[in-house]
Amino acid sequence: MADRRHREGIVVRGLTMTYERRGITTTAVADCDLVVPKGSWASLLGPSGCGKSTLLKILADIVKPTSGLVTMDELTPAEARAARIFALVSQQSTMLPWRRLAENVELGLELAGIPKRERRARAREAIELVGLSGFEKAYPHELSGGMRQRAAIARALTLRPRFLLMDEPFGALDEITRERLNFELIQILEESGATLLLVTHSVSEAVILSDQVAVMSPRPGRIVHLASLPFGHHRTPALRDDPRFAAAERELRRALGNGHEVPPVRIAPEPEPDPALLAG
Amino acid sequence: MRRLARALPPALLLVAVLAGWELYVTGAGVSSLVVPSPSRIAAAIAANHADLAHHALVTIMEAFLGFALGNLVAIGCAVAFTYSGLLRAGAYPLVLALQAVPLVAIAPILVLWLGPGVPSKVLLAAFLAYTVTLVNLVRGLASAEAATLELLHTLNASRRQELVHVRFPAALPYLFTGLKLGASAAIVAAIAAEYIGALQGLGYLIHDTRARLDNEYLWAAVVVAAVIGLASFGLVVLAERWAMPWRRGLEET
Amino acid sequence: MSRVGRRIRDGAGGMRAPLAFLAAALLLWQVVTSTGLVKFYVLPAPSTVLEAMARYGPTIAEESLATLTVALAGFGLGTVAAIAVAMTLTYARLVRDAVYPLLLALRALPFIAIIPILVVIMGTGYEPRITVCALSTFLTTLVNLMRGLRSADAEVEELMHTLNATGMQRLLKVRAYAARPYLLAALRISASSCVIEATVAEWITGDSGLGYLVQISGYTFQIGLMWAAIVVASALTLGLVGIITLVERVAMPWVPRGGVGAAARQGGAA
Repeated sequence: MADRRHREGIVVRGLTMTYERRGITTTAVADCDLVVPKGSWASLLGPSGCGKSTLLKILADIVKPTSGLVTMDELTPAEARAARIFALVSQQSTMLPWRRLAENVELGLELAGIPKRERRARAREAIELVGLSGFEKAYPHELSGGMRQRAAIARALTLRPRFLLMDEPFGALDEITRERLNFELIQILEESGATLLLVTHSVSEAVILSDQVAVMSPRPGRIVHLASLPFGHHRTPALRDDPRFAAAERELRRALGNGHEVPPVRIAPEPEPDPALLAG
Repeated sequence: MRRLARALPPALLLVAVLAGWELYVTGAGVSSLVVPSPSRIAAAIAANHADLAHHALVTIMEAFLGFALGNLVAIGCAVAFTYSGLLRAGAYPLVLALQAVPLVAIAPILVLWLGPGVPSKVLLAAFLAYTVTLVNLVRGLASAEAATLELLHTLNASRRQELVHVRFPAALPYLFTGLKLGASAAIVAAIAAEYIGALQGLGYLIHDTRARLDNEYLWAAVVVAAVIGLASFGLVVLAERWAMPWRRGLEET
Repeated sequence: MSRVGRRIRDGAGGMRAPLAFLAAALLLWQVVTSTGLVKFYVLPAPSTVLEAMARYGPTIAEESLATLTVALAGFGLGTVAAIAVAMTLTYARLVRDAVYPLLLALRALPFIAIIPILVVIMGTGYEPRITVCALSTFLTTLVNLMRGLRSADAEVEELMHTLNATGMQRLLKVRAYAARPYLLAALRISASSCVIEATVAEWITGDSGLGYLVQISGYTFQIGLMWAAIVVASALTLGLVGIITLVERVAMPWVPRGGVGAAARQGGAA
């Protein structure tokens, strides 16, 4: 029974990704193992360049891995894409500039050949859910970054995906907007029951949005720490006052660095991999 | 190696087209008075190379002088438009409209004013180069990022410094777009004005050989004109690569 | 409807200052020429040009129609051919590798140099004139379209990939839109170069058209008529370019005010 449940959800086994450019081989992801049970929320946390986005792009069938196994509900990324069981939300909140907001939200359904009436209805529902009602006719360039990001989430939701893959979805937004969207996303996830895999470099975002957090080290990207969080799925902004929240943040910061430094605030160009950290 | 592989298919196609042309014209017995074969055109070029060179040099000189003159004035005007709101509001839309006017059509007026010599061609080439460069350069000088301009302002930079360090580098890609168009346009202008009235130059030669029904020589002159057009465009592309090494490989043309 | 109307009207607002400037220039021109300091054949007064326009109205209209026919026919043929060939080249890689570099090179040719050759082959009728217009439109539009069809952002392509879009869906829903600014920029360039080429071709064919009218009025020293024909040719060009600019506004409602990227404006000259 337990075994069966583990094959559902997201399964990553022995995943390795190397690039070769001008004779220099770079290992972006090295021998990663991760299981995200169906319906749970997981984050990949790490500094820039640790290969966490690469891992997500492998799941989304944008990049092919060098070796290893990746499945979503026992389907390979290519099969999962053909079956349309996942949706990807990227940091750029990519919109087609010539489509109005509602048309952008409908795009996935349109490509899947859903009849016009149904896709109208589903898009309206998703737009309402992300709080963009009234902006249906706006072009992307007329929207703020936060609104575009909500629209991208709405587009993902119209597909009723079993898996929501998010690549720093709020990374380009300010702290205040970001936190509000974090809790809005929680409500949406609670309602949809989707499995979430989130890539982020924000410790607090990872804690707010996850049941488990995989901390990655840079170059080669490796999972160096796995934290389980006990907060359940019904979360409100009051979560921040929970003493366990601060404890979880501390644990993750320690896993990321040496326990005192906060990686996102560091001004050094690229954090050097710390051999001691890699050892555990 | 990769370059060679990329150049091979078009080169083969070109050879095939020329061979097909040669075979068709000789095989089907097409008269040289209609379409001469490539070999006969080549022979005409060889036989008349001294004459062709003379006329080609005249056209090149006219186009080059006009190109240089037009661009110099355009650069001055673009800077003036960038810094004078009054000039920009009043004169710039007219320049934009001027760009749409078929300037080549005024060649008869210029020939009437300046006679059949070199100056009328230089002036027409200058007009054409002027408008395309000006329009592109004004757009380019305005394309500098506001944040960078603000930074320069807080550093108390002079207008000249702002121009040299921020606006001109930002405008370079636009300038070269204008120069590429201008180089072709200058050649077109010189040849067009030579059609109207000239005593030498490729346009004159093309007009004259057609009137004399010397079809092989006519084709030879057209081929030389085509080569000059390509070469002038190619020279600007080379200059662009040299001036903006950071953009190499971004665009293939 | 009202949205479209507004977009068109907005464009006319910025023309007040240049129109005033133009009026001032015309006035100055009239004053200078009426002093008699400038010979009439150097610079005829605006009133002289207007007089010629009124007097030779029917002739000018007839020759304008000939020029317009040539320019529009060439423009239409060239555009249709460019769209068809661009579609083909996008999907046939081998053909593209061989043909496209040659087409790129051809675009830099001075088209007006081949007019006499076309006249030798086709005679002095409309055919050589239409051919040269079609040829330059074809090459300019093709090159811009090829660039435009590949101009969609990598992120957009990635999005379409994760949404499992088919090749046809990508063409219709992404490339067709991404290419539109490039296509319209090419059409704007072609519209004005078609009138230029038609006019120059008419100098050579000497059969009909505004170019022909300019030439014979020059020979017969009817300076007012010559200027009138040139002014009308310019007005034709401006009119065509204006129409395309309007089409641009209506066809690309998503483009913010301030306009299309400069990269899309590249294309061949004359």
